[in-house]
Amino acid sequence: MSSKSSNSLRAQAWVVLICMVLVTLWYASSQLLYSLYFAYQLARLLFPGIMPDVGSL
Amino acid sequence: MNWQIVFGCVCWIVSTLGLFQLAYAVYRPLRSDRPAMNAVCITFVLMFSATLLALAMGLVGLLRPLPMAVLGGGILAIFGLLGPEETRLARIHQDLGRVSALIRAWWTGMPSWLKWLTGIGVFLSTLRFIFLVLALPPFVWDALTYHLTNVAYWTQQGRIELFDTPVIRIYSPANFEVLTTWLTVFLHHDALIEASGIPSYVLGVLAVYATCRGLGISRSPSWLAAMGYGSTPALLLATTGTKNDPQVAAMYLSIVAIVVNLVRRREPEDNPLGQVVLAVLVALYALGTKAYIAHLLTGAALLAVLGVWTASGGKPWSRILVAPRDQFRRASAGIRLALGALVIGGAFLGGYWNIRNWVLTGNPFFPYGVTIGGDQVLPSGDRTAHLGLERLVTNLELTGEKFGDRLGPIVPDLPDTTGWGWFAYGLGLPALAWMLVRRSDMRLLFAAFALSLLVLFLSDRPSPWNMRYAIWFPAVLAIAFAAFVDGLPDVSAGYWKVLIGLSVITLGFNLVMTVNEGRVKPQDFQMMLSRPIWDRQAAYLRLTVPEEYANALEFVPRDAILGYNVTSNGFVYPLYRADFSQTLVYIPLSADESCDDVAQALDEHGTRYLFVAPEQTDDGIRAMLGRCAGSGSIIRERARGLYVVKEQQ
Repeated sequence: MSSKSSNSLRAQAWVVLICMVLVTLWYASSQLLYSLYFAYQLARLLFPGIMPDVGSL
Repeated sequence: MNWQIVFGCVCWIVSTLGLFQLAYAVYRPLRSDRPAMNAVCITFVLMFSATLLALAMGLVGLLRPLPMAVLGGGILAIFGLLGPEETRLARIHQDLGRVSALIRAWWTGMPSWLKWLTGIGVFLSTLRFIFLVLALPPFVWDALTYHLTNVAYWTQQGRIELFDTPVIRIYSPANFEVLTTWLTVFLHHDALIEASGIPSYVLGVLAVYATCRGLGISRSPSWLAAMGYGSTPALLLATTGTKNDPQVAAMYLSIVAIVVNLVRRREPEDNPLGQVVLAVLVALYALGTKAYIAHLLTGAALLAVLGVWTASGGKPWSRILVAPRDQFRRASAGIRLALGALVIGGAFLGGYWNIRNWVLTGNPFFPYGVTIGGDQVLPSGDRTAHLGLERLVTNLELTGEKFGDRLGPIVPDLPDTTGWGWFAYGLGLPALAWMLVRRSDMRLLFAAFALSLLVLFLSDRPSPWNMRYAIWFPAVLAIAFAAFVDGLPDVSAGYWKVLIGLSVITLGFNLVMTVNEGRVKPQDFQMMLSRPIWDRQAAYLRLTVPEEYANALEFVPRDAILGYNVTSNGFVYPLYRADFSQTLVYIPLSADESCDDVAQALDEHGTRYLFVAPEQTDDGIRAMLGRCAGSGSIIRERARGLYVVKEQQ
């Protein structure tokens, strides 16, 4: 494989990786709080009085 | 109680040893020359054999610990004394040694970061499964209405049969429920019932791995894809939710894996006949689980046809038609007999439920009627399976709204989300987009998945829960990610760090968000864990179950018959109790009956107790019973939702 073609493939791989980061951030913008909600509630139960109540989802 | 448990466990062990022996004998003529496909094969064959044995025993009324143990012992004895040499214990021992060496070599070949990820991931997933199975009773709607109602009745009676209940969805194909009885019959308890989806979960994960390997993807990315699919929230929630959708998903993905391995591999399969028969058995088994597998199979058929058409280095059709036919002609009489017997067994599992319904009701799909376009093809019980383009459009619109899981948390019934999770969206979607450009085999695979989804959406009831039947779809996103990683050029260490970091984050979030089944509060866990494991009743977990159910357990003696009246979508399962000790009888009533008529109906059914509950029983009937209790009639309200006929002085 020529170095030009190899560089092109590497560049393409970086583009896909950046897309993965962006899509993950997009997904996180709606699901991050939902995903951590139970862990937060559990921590509140285990360590009462430290973390504020954030209400229900 | 203790003696019963010890006895049950002994019977369970003997039965399971017999099951393993039978499964090994079934596995031998079906096995491939590829370890990944053999992992799929043995997992399926174990499920197939367990279901077949339980169904046969249940139909003759012997679904009890001792007869099951006698059957298991009998199988061991027959194969040990009379079975062919290659199915005996010494050969099994040899094969286990080979498998162990293969697993060691597979593990050694993985990069260390993937070993760590696998070790931690498998450990935490196993802990999650054990915790949820032991901590929570069943709570998902369909499980409480009909899936587990069947299991409870069969376990209680030791017989698989229909029974009188307004929930006529108990007529639905029930291979999943039959398999579930392996977890209830021996202990006569539902403590482990939520583990019933785990075999299907394992099969689905292995099928994704085998599909990747069939596409020529190397081991590490294939395994990463398998873990990625295994972390899909919708799949995880359905697995411990005692729903049968993971079983259909696993069967579909297994068929895809078989087809891919038959048509896309560079080297032709050594045992094409066995693999084709395996595909047929998987399809038949799935037909006896849920009829929508027929819709999904269109995609698998497309994969087979186009896969054969575009395969290199072989004549079209030779791999899936000509080679198996030639192999059959060369096969010994014993192999032909064994394969024939397996197909008959598969036809039994695939056809029993529909043929029974056809004989009893004139409609093989009862209680579902079928309409195509505007024409009623089969009469309905209380539901209709409708095929039409308008459904496809509505389902696609619903999927569009749910895409990205942006409307709410992911919960078992998927009312607002696709449930595909962090890995499928974050890593799978970009990888799929790129692989559709780069790889023709990924285009073919995606076309197959897309066709299955479209045909499914032609009939999927466009309810808020329409994505429950599509939990197999994220597999193609995971496979695309594997293909992407496998095709990576020589990239820098920094690149790998970002990619591994993303994998860890997305897999981790998928796991974290499903620890509580997406909806169980810490206080609910606390409440259930405060009870002994034998008393974690479905009636006590009030996520979907009204408080009246707990009253029935508290006030009705275990040895009494409990009458109940619920609608066709009401919960029956919690009334059986966790140890299936409560005998139930359905009391048909109407809102305009007199109090004396109600008392007489109860008397005729041999009980003094009548259970009703809000949103489970017709409001008119509940109001009528309330009037009876308030008017000093022969009926009194013992506790909320529980009415009793006063004892005569």
